[in-house]
Amino acid sequence: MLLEVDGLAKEFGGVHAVQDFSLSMDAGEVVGLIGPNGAGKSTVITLVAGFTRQDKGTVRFGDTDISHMPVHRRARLGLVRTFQLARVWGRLSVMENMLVAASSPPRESLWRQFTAPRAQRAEEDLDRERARGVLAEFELLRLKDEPAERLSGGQKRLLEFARIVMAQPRLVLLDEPSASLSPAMSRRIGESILHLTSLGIAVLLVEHDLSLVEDTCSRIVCMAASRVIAEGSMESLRSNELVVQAYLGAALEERDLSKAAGA
Amino acid sequence: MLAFITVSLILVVTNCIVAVGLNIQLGYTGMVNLMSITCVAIGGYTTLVLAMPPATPATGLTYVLGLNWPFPLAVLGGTVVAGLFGLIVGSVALRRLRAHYFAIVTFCVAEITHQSIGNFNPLFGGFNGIYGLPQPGVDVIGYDNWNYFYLLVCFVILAIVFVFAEYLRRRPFGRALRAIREDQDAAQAFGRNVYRLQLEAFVIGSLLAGLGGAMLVGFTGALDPGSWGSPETLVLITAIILGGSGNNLGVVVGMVLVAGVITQGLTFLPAGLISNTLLSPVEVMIYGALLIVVLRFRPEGLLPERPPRDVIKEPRRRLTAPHVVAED
Amino acid sequence: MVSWRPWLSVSLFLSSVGFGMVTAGILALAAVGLSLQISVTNVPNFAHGELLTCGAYGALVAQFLTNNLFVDALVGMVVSGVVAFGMNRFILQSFIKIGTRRIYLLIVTAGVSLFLQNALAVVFGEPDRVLTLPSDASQPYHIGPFIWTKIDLVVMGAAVTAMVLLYLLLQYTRFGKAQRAVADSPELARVSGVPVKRVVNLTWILVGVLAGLAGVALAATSGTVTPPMGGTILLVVFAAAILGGIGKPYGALVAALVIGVGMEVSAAYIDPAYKEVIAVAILVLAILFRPNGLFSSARETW
Repeated sequence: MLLEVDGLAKEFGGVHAVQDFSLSMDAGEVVGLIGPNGAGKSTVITLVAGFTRQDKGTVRFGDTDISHMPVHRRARLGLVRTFQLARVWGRLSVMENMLVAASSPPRESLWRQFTAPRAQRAEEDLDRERARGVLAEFELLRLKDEPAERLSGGQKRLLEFARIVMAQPRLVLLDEPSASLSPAMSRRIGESILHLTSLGIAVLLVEHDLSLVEDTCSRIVCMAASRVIAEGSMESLRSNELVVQAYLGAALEERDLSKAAGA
Repeated sequence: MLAFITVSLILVVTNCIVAVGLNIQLGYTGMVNLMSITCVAIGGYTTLVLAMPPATPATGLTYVLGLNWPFPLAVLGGTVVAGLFGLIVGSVALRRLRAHYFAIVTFCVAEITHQSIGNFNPLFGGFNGIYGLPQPGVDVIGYDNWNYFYLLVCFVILAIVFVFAEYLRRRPFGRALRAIREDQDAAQAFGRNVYRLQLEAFVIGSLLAGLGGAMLVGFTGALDPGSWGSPETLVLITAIILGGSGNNLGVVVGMVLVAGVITQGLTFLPAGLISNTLLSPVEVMIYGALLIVVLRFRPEGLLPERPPRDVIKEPRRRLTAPHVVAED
Repeated sequence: MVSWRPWLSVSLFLSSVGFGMVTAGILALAAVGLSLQISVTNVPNFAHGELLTCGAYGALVAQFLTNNLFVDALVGMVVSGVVAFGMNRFILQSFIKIGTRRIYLLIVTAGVSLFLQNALAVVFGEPDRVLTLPSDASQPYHIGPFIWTKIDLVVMGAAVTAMVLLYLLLQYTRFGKAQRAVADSPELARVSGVPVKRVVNLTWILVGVLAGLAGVALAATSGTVTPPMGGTILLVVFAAAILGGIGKPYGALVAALVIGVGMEVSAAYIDPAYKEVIAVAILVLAILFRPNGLFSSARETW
């Protein structure tokens, strides 16, 4: 079991953002997380990645309990996330973005800059080669020396994916990767997700574009009003009355939600 | 005339040492450090109290220590103490990772330190300060050529510092700092311990600020709170932003322009044009306006930062023919 | 034998509490304004102190025409309101429009602060100026255990009046409701039809007016008008605004009382030169441990 989330809960200023969220994922799985706006999906990502501390619940990654680990340590274990707006390092070149993603903190230790410069450079050259290969796959190679901020929205998204490939994590949390992108771009995002899977990287995909979710995910979880209300394949969810109601925006009674969670 | 230029250059060069340090904090890592000048002062004061003889009532000065150390050792001491100061403040202030909290806290530390040192005479002479350090090495060099000698020493130190900063910039460490500047959260998401990297950058900058202060004090022989307040911090920041934050050469150019040209140039204007008493306020007004204008219309500065180029070093040419594997 | 030292320290304590309340009044005007300003523009204005200074100089200039302190104060308040409006509309908004990062906006306000301070020094010259007060200004009044001069009472009265008027403005007028909406969430306010830009501009004018009054009060009680007068208490004002919680003007009021009285009481017992150091230390502690103020909810604001 790669990821085990159990009973995660978080409230902000008296409002429950996430309640009793549980999820298990195997290595290499692609799981979708859908639901109407405000359901708590992004908060789940924030909690699992460690940017916010949960009120209740635990998160296990591999054999380790990461519930109280800071973000960077979770990342070093192989748990990486993207953000709703593509966050690239703007004034760094595309290649530098790739190198930062590939590099490991021990390599950047201040001491090592001076004690092992040649070894560092050799490692970095290997990374550069690999980065060029990955950039070529994402069709970003010709932009490698451009400052990342000059890329278009779609290209930035692809760069995010390229960086993830460079980082070789075990699990990546994707936060609405196709937001504000054209349908053509969305399809490329879908291909990129499958690319990640082919490399053995597990994916938790938060998305509004349901066709993208359908094309890539083997299992889908639906949230509404801070709780999980259904889980299964896309067909089963389509015929699930609670899911349909949630998306139509009908108010769901607390009672029904707990019934669904218990079912 | 030459003597005047030499003096100006010494002031400019020592300030450049500080500026390169601040560039590592502000230009590379994006930390707005409003207590840079405080580290300069701490470096200067420490150097003074280490190099001078113990305070006696006869001189009318009061300060701690007074160990009569040789000047180079005192400079080392000043640098280290400034770095320690930065370490202590940074380790606490950087816990709150948000940029503007950090800026305010550094400003507070600058104010508190300024007020405390000014009001507490026994430490560094209070508002009178400390003065009377003899020119280091003057008994060997002689008075006539001492200025040129000292300028040379400062210049060599700046060159070393410059190379050091450039080296860091191109290494993974420098790149990690710049990633933090661009997007801290993404840097964390890729495994960077942002707190630790920022702290390291902050300490390096503080060390260099102390070094600059120490060398400055070797020239002026004196230091008092009047010369390190918020206007001086503004001058440093203006120099860096004007020259090009993130670009070490730009920062040096910016400092030359700001400290050198503007300051010295103002002294050349006809006395009737600007009354002598207004010289300082007019200078500061110019810096303030310059800062705002540059940030608005050319925030990258005169010499913008240029990411290091992507080149893979060619493998060394083989000296012998490649070994041919015989076919099986 | 009963020694009379305890008597001395009690009256010392009380008189410093009395001073503290005057300081608190001035501080409250400045800090409440700062809290409102940060809640709508999200940038700590390092030039806020200069708004006080401009108010004081405005009153000074008005004294060429009339010695009526009330009118002078009004002129000062108008001047500060205009300067504040200009600061936001012509400088800050110009940067926000091009997407400058918040941290650089902070540097911009620091630049504005030093520019204004020194511009005033250039225009009005180095020597300290004095605000002419009515002849009975230093007449002492004994009220309960406290001793206040007439000008002290006027200042406190003005502060209280301003706070009451502000409360009425924020609670009951359309502007007040709009301002609170913008402070809470500009996006939500915008889509709800609130004229955000106008509200921001008006808020800044209000902030300037409050700061101007504080500046005149400061000049009247401290006796001098100097270019750095606002800048020297900037961090104390920040301390009150942050301790009270950004966007909670009444929190700033309470914090101003705590800090103002605390400063003066401690000045009676330790070297008064350190009185601002203590307030600044409070600011550092507040940022480190309670950045959302003493009365915070869990929600992160700025």
